Amino acid sequence: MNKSKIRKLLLTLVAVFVVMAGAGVIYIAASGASVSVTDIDYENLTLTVKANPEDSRVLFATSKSATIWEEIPGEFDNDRKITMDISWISVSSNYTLYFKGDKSAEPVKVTLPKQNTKFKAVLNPIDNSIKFSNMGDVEMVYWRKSTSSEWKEFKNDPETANRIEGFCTKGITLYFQTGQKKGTGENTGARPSKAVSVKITKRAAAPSVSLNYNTLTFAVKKTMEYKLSDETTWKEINSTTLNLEEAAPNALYEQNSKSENAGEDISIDFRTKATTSKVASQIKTLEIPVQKDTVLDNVVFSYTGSKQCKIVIDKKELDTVDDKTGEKKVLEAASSNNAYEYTVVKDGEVLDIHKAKWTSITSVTTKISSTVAPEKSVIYVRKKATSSDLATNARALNEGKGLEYPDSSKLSGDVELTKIQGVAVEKQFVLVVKNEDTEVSSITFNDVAAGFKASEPVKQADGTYWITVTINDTASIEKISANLSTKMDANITLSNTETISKGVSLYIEKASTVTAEIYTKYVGIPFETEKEETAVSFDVALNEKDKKTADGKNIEVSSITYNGKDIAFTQKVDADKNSISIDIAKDEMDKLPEYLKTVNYGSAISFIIKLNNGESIDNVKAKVVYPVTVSASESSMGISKSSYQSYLDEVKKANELNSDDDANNDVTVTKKYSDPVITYTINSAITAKDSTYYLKSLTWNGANVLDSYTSTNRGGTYKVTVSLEKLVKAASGSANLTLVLSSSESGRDIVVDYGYHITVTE
Amino acid sequence: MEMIRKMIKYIICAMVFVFGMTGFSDTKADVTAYAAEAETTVPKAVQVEAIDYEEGYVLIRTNDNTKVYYSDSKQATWTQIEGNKIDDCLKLDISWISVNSEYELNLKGSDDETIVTVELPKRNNSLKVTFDKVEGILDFTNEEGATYFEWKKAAATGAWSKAPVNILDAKADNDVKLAEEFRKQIEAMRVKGGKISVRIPQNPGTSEINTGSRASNTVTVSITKRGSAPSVKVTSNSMKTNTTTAMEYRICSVDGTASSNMKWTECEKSMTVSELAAEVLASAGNPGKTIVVEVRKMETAKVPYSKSTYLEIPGQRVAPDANVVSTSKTTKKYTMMISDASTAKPYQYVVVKAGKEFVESKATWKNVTSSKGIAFSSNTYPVGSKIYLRLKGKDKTTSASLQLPSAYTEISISYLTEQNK
Repeated sequence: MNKSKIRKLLLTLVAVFVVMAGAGVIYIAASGASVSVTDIDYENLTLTVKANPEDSRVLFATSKSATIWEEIPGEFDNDRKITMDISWISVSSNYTLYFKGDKSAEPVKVTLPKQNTKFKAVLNPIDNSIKFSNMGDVEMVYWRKSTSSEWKEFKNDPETANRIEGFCTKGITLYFQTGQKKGTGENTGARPSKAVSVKITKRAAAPSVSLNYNTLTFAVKKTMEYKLSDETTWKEINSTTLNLEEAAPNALYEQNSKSENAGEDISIDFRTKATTSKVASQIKTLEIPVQKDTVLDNVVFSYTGSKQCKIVIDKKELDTVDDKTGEKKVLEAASSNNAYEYTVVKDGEVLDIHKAKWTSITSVTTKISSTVAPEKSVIYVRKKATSSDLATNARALNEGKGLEYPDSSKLSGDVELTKIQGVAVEKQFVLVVKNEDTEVSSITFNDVAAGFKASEPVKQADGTYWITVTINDTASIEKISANLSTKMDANITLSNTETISKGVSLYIEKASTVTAEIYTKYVGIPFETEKEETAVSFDVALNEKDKKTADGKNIEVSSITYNGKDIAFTQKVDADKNSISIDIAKDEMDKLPEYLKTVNYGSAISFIIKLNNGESIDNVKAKVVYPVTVSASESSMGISKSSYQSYLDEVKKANELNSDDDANNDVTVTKKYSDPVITYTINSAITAKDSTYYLKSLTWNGANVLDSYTSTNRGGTYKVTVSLEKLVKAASGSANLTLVLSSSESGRDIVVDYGYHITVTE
Repeated sequence: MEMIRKMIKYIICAMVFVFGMTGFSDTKADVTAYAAEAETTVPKAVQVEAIDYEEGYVLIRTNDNTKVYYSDSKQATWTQIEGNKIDDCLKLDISWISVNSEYELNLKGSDDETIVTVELPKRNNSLKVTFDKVEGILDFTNEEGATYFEWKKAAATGAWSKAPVNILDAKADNDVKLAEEFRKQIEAMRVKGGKISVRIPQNPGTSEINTGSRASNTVTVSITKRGSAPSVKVTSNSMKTNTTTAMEYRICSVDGTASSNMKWTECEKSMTVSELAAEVLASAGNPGKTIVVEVRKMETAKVPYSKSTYLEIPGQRVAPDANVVSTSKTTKKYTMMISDASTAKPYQYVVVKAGKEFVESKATWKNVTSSKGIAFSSNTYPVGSKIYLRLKGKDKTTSASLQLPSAYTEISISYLTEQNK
């Protein structure tokens, strides 16, 4: 035996020993026994055949009686095993192979199983586990991502669930297959199953969810779930609303050790729950600020009356010191930037912070009507939510007690007021109120406001306050005739919304009237009227039956004045006509120009007719008028006798020089003086009656200064030229030019010494 | 010796494993201590612990941040990384990121918002691999300096195997082994042919700076099967084979003893069995030895060698015993009778005229299947002519195996002379 033969023998012995040890049985390689298939690996697709010692080759074919047998290439290992490739064999059907050695000629049949194509894998998105079915008798499952080519052992454990959860962010396709069961010639095992895909869909977008900082309620859907961000377990949502105290109790002041954890946020996650067919959505995280308390130190509650209370939230400096700034804490007044709100919890009800209807407080004082906050109800106040803060912890006012409104304000006693239309008068009455802040808002009669003034409330011994109210303006009321001659009740409205509509009444008597008339008095001409009578006469209509003075006297005219001057008159009461007849004598009228300054000539001035009940009537008027109007380029002139004389001399000398033949001696004298021309026009009302006026004289300072005149308009207008020569011959002085017109019919003169003033100096 | 060496190797491995375990548990204790300390630690910027492109994740150490967010290069929207922390680490799935372009991944914590940027590389998409069917190796293009590749049968679900890119020139022991294993498995596939998947493996990242590289594109390489074995036969009559010069052969065994020289020898055209192996012929009264010859088509520059045909040639029988031959002569005739010739035991003979040369392989053998006399005329075969006699051989059929003709016996033809008459 050579060396290699010895080695072969040894190896064979070792191989036999190994087989014996491995199988636990003694195996004797009987002569003629064929090759055996010892290992089929369906993952790496190899099949290992053990040959007999005498075999130098192992052959295989697909038929027992094949004419051509393929040799398994390669060399035997120490155990006389040789491995072939089976990757060429289809996995879709069972496949039979026969093996033999070149010496061990008896073929051995091995049928490779087909692949399991019924394996199924389904994702359960609720717990991120994968459910398998039709696994055959294989226990192991392998998986890989679609992007990977490496199969890994799969187990439904928390770590895997965690990874699958992570895949949902972007979505992924996973592949699963059962593991192989390695085979031998006796038991060919099982191939890995057909790989099946499980699509893990990308998460849907996070649901829209927000916290209403006012109602402290999340708008949610039943399909959602939530958890605090630092928790790991999701909680169910079984309603369409989720209250803050349920979701995050520590966000509420009452739950959060009652401390002001300002600046701290509580983080809550929301998502749409996984269903049996869909993974959970992406997460929406809300950062919720911790609720603060409502500090009531600057919130003052009080009643304003029987129907109203008020909340005053004003700036207030506290005695406590702010830790951060080192300064005293200041509570700011309510404003739109520091808004508060209140709600009313009626008797027998309990505050529900999620459903309560809150009313904003954006100014220092807020008044609340008793219809809003009835007896026994409790008012809660809190700071309104802002974009960064929750509404603060609600606090009850009035120490939490039910409201008890005081009695209503009232009159100190009933008052009947009377007045005369148009006669200013102040009428007073007294109001008894409960609160010194109470003001009178308005007083109306027949829905028309009366002007009034109210005194400061004066505290009384019984704790009430008295306000003296003075009605001082009823003009708007009197304008409406229906309000006259009738008794009206005052409707008094107070600032606390209380109203008093009985107890104060007002009666307005109609004013006395006179038919309006304007009389004209010409200066320098005796007054005369159209009528035959020589007096101005008119009736004062009293307009109110049984009109009496306040002290019960009959009504009469107590005085008539014209521009402040008493006018003499006579009166006569006409009971039938409920009027008083008034007469003013002509000579009284002729005095009128004396009562006026000349600048007031031309204006209609009232006769002020005063009655003894305080009434005053002014629609009978008279105007004082000049009968002639004077027009000149100047209203006055002045002249010096000497300078005029030297001017005349100069003119005379020039005339002499210019009248001789010597043209060379001609001189020109600048014209310095010309005779003034003045136009006098008689009022047409006078000339209409008497057109016979003519110019009787024009004098100045007693001297006739008329140079010439023309007249037109049936003698109504006279254009008069004053002679300067005559003027300078008169005595020096300063006086009006006096024109006298005279009627040839009546012989009456109109003396016009107004309108043109001349001063003559030496 | 080999086994002992292997055993020592296993023991060392086991020891290393045990020590390794001990070392690991120490590390774990440190981690626990660190975690206890961490309760008072301020959160720090997040860190990348590992990047596994095959598994498709980035392992991020949160450094005590409550949440970790990621974004793309725009950093417009930040998405929270889902899942629960394990050992202060979160796994971010990156299998959704395209392998075909670089990707800037930005990370930040919810507490320490320092942005950590990770540049994820794109895949080498240009790897090309072809099968050198002559050498039985893979030729790589654009392997980008990789020293190893990964492969598995295209249909296999098992793990990738590793082998050195330079298969023929592997130096390190382990590389040589890997290369051998690769070639062995490829060879096994060349019976039926098949497909393998090949890629350059990933180089996992270890930090946000060292991001490693992705596995290359996977190339499917067809492994062509070898050509079918040549149909080589022995014609028993001529003891010639139909070999061609495109074939090669080697003697596998002689009388069941494996040949010590397994070198391949180029065939000549129509080689005789003795040209293949002289031992097959009987000599010195001893029968020839049974030989097994493996014949295949030689590889050319383009075609690999084929599968093999195995010729089992039984040893030649010794020449027929002279005792079976009886003769009778006249002056004109020489008659030969072979006593045991039958169809079951056919003989063959050739007559060579005096002066002519006998060439066994070219001779035209006549069959003898009975003991009837065979007469030769002196006119045709003068004295000095010779008869060569042998047992007839048999060609291989599906039911019978090959039998070479036996060695031959030489008989001289003679006639009665007048004197002898």
